[in-house]
Amino acid sequence: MPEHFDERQLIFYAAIPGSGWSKLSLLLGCCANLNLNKSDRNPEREEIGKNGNTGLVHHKGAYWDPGMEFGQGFDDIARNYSKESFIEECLRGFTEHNDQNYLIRSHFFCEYKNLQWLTENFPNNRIIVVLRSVELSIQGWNEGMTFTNNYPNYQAWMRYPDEVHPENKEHFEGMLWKHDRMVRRWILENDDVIDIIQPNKKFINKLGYVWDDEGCEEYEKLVMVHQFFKSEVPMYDAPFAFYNCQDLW
Amino acid sequence: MVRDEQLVFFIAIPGSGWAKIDSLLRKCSKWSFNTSDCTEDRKDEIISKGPGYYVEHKGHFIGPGTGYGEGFDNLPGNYTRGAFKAECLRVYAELNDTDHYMIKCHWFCEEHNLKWLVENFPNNKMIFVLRDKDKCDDRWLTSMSFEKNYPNYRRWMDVEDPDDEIGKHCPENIESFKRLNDWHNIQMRRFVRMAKKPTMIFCPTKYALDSMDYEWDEEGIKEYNAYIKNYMVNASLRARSPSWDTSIVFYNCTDILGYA
Repeated sequence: MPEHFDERQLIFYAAIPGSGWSKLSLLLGCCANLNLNKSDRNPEREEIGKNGNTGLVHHKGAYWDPGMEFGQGFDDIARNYSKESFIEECLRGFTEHNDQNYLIRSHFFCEYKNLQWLTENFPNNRIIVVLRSVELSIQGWNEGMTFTNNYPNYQAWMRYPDEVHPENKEHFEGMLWKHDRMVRRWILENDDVIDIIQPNKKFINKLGYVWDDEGCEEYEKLVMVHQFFKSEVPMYDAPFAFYNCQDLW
Repeated sequence: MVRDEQLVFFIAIPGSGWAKIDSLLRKCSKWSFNTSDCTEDRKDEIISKGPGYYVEHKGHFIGPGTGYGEGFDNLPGNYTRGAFKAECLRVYAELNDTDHYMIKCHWFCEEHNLKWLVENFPNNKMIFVLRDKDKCDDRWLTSMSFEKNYPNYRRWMDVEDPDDEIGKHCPENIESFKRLNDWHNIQMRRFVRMAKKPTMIFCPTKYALDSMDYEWDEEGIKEYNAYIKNYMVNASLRARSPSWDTSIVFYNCTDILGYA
């Protein structure tokens, strides 16, 4: 455990695959108020998507889920980790440790039992969830990703090792529906402390968005690929749900 | 005497659930919305869903076919500023200089109307309801009729259809409804994107409603529960999993929301 580490530096980030959560997390990385540690980023942890180089890097940095680089046991945190070993696993993705916040991105945080464990063990920590319909998320993931040929690795969503086995698709979609249902149930149960907000310019500016080269690039990416998903006008179909975050704005 | 700034323009496409959002906002005491438009002849409980009595549409709706604002499809062509304001307030029985007056009209979505509103009422608040257009179409077409429910949607029809019923519409009218919804949706979202005044977009969670001093009395609980029940992912997941697929856009509302 790094010296002077405060467990509230961990921000838990959850969503289902295809929700655009990666792009949205990169947007959060440009918000000064979140003060995110970016030392998990390196060239090996980048992905441009299965359609090749469109000039956009969709995935950057570390991910924590079974089959991915970190968080092999994050499908059942209570069973696989003590609080201390969980913190260590979260921090393992970062090379530099300082007073900045660590955004821990895991799809399996969506599991209801994991959300309960997180809120019981880290009652003062922030949790951020991206909400997007399962149908749109499935479409989004299928257009840009594969189970094992892109970064990050989604083998935990497969039932059979053959990438194109038809039952893998069904299994993948079933997991998305399950996780979506669970995370929305948790939100409903906590909606007296949760804000669900669309990331328009006004709002990200309230989060201290930095409009440097990186900031402009990430925002353009969000607008081009996400808010205008197959539409000439913004869809605003992927809001953030913020738990314990009201001090950020 | 009602000041201009007391008018709050409320804007959405049919099927967005805007009527329920209106009901929620009217329970927020920070807004102090006047409710003297909520008369017995202005409500519709026919399409109530789920257990319990719930009035889905209540209060005024302004626009062609509703009996008020017959020319609201073209504000610059049909009204002076004063005549428009008088027409808006005609739906309210009580007028004072303190309350806010919600003015609900689908036709405000049109670009020329939004431009006219901003030019003529530059300091006013606007509230938009955003929901996926296909979901709006589906919801409205399966839960409303053009002329047999309140409010009246005759203006969305392309042909006369005396057999029109809830969920039973002729193809021409379905097509004209979807076409108009598409047109209004695009113009409304374009305005929101290019908005010149501070604009926050969020979902009506309890937290968000509490920030506007929602009244959790019997009526308030009923309104909130009705909202949740009507926005479930699907029937099998009822009571557990709201889709939160409807966002409210608050334009120029920073003093109410407390956001600087």
